[in-house]
Amino acid sequence: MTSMGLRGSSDRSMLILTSLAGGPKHGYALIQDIEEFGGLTLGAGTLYGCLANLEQAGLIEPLPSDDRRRPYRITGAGSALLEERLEESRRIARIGLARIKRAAT
Amino acid sequence: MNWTRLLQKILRCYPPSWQARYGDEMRALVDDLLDGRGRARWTLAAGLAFGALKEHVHPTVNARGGLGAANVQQRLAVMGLVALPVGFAALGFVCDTVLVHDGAVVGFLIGCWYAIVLTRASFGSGHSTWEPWIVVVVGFVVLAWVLTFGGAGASPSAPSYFGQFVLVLGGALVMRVGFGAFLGRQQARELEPHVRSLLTGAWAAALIATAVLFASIYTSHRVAAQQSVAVCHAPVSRLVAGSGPGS
Repeated sequence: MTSMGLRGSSDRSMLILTSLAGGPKHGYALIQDIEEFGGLTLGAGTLYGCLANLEQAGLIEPLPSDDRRRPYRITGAGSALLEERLEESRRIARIGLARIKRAAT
Repeated sequence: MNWTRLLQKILRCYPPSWQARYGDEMRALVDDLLDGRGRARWTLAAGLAFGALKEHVHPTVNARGGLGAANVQQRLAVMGLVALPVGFAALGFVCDTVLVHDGAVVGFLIGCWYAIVLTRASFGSGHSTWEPWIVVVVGFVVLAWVLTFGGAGASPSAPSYFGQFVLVLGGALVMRVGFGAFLGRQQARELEPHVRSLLTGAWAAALIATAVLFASIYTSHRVAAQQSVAVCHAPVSRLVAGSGPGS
């Protein structure tokens, strides 16, 4: 899957990237963090499906670990994609809010 | 209920390549999640079971443990495993009323298709530049021609030659859409070893079954042809015998 393949198709992937933007995390830490800031509880199967896709797209990479819990970190390409997507979301949110205000007045 | 054991069993349902790549991490995560409070365990089990199924149908990790789009082939190989016996059985089931030997022809050609793909995957070199599904179409034309006009004689219940051709060509095109893009040599190499073994067994079984079917069809047609010849010849023989010198 290319990074373009993730565009607009996976909010969960964006949540994972957002979480990893704060620093490397393993699976359980990711689930807890996303639950905290996103209000969404990811299942283990869903999480690892997304992690595999993100890794395949080169947006995240695993870090070496002696523990069974392998941490992941966001790559440069992942950061760039996340920034682009968030900017896009901000622009859409700004337009939407402006229109709602206009309609109300 | 022992949730740990159940979840470990579900984790073992993931494809071997996935387990090799993510198995330890997922087991650690499941242990952590089971220790966590307020989490519905049946939801976790259902999520894992769905994830395992999804990974079989739409694999992410290939047989070499790498991540790549080539794994897309695997899901069609799995579909092929299901489609081959089901399709063959369906054709065999209706062969009494539709046509006698199309089931054999299609099963045989699908077997050839898999044989070519898997053989090329194991021993071939270079990239495939032709479509294996052409084997199905060309092979049908040849085999149907041989069976229909090559001496065995057409079955009374069989549709016309053109009708059979259209039927199987349509089937081949459907297979092309569904399977064609997924059965390249390189893609077959990416199959899980157990999937490749199952496929090999499937096409071998199809070849044996169709060989038997061919033989029985040919024999029955030949016997029928001989009987009809005998029926036609009987009056002539009687006539010849009656007009002989002894009459």
